[in-house]
Amino acid sequence: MTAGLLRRAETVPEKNTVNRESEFRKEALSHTDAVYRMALRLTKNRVDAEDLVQETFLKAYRFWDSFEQGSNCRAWLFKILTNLFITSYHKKSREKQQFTYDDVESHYLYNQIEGGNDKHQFSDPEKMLFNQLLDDDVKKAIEELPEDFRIVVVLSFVEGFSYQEIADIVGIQLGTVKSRLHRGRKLLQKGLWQYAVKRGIVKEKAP
Amino acid sequence: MDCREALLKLYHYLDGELDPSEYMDVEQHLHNCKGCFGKAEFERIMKEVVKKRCQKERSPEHLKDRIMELIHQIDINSEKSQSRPADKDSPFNTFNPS
Repeated sequence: MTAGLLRRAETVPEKNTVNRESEFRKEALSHTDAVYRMALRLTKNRVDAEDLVQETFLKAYRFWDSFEQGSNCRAWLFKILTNLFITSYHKKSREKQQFTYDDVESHYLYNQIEGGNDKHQFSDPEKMLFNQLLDDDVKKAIEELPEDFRIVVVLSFVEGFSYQEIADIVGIQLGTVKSRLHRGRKLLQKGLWQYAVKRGIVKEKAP
Repeated sequence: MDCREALLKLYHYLDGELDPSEYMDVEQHLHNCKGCFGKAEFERIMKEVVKKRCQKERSPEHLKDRIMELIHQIDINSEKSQSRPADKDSPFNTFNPS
């Protein structure tokens, strides 16, 4: 121990640094793609997403010693990312959440298709609808969700985190995760339906 | 379990958030009820499609490189301040990513 400290004081501790960096590279940087995708859905553009990802990893590296080895590094990174987005990104963008929405029924999309006059078109409704929607339609439908709902929907649908993990990442109660996810789901279905109408995959029903 | 209860638990079922006995109850109901099964399949496929469509993007290489460069810089700066503050010959090039 003493020898280690002495060596550290005398010379640049290259070994420690290299170890720390390579450990970080292996444990944390392997999640860059996932972190970047989440950042894209949050900021909705590449430039801000890259900034947010960079900030996330720099912060993670500064606090790397406090990360409990063996625990869920991906969840830890998403927590840092979400937190940075909520606290600092908002100050920059001053994006105010001004969203009102009508309550959407459960199983909206299914009901639209199954209950509609176009039912005969949909012997295989999933295939019909989902195969024809573009990747961009799906991403836009997600990005158009109000932020609180968008965060939990992406964490659950895309990243597959459990409700408890999402509660920890976002810093909200478990019940709030459930209710936001429930609403987010309904809104997402409505959004997907609107893109399907726009693409001419389905016909809009008379009100 | 009736349809109302099954649909109430459907999202938790799809998200893997039910305990085993509840899970079995919902599964049993879906097995016996065509209407609910249709809804469940639709919701399950939607979830899968959203996941698949959103998982294709990769972070740009230059971003990863920049992050590595910046954290290496953090280390160098902290070493400088810890051990050799006046050293101008800090070995920037000694770290060779393999």
